[in-house]
Amino acid sequence: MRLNWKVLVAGLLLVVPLIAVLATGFGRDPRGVSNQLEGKPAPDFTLTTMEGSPVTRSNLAGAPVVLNFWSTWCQPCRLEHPHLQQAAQVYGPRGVRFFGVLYNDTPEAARPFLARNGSIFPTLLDPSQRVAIDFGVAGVPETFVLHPDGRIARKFIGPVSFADLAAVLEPLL
Amino acid sequence: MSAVWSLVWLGGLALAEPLPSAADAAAAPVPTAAAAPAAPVGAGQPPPEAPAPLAEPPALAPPDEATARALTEEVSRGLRCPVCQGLSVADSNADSARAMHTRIGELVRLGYSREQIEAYFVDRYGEWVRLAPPREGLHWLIWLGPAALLVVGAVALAARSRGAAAPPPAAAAPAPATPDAYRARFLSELDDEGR
Repeated sequence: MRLNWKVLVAGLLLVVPLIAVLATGFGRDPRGVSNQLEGKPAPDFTLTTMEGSPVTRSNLAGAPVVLNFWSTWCQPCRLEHPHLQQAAQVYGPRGVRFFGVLYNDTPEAARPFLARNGSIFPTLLDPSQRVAIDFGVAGVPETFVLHPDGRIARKFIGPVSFADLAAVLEPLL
Repeated sequence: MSAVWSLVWLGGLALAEPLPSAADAAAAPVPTAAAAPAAPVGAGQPPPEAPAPLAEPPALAPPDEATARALTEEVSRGLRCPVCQGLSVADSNADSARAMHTRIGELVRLGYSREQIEAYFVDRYGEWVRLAPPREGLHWLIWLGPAALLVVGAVALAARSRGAAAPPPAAAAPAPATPDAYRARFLSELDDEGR
């Protein structure tokens, strides 16, 4: 059979880019959320703890900060809770500041949960989700590690482990 | 070739297999007795702080209420609800979408333009947060590509059918296959078989 080069080239011109696009597209999690805030300055915020003390981001400069968005109704948050507590136990004394940010939940629900499961770092309230949106939070849990200079060093989507946090925090100390 | 692409695809799926992701967690909350999901967010909490402006100044003057509502809806229709599947912020009742809707409304009332507000969300959530690709640069390929392919296909088809309608006389000349010729060949082949 005679090979029709024109048809072959035209077909390849159409099909190869299509395959390339599909191969890239299928390699992505359609619900994956961008980590593009990494390396950029963390948004400013002033939130209050459940006990009523204000916490301002700019006052935290100079120390690495771990900011964990969580809620009591989120199962993965329950899974990661002991890891965060352990990380705070190990890295808190070494200068890392840990904060939880309650996401789409109430202090009335959070208090018994923390009393039951331990709470060695403060939980901040973000009732309007303003700060969550400023950080590009699409759901919980999401955890941000802030560089001492205020940039976002790492954004974790989904539950973090102690090892995940240690790997990011060690170089910052 | 296709096996290679299948492997690439499967590899991509495997890599993309998320940890229990934020979206999963938010899409399938497991209510507990303590969660009280029916309670409105913010009930009994300090009132929300004043709307925080963006780093840049608003491009427009603060609009009147009717314009602000219309613009809020328009911007909300173009942005993706982060915890939904293909739903806009305007179409979703998810808490995250409602919070985004509120934030859009605040920014609109401060005088921020549609472009500024979209840029604010794209900076945080990535291009993914737009429900439709922007009409600029290479993105025009996505908008115009299918129509262009349709036109190319139609032109090619038209050219082909015009060629078929008026076949050159030379192409019609070699037509030796008459029913008699077929019959003769058929019989001779039958004879060959029989031998």
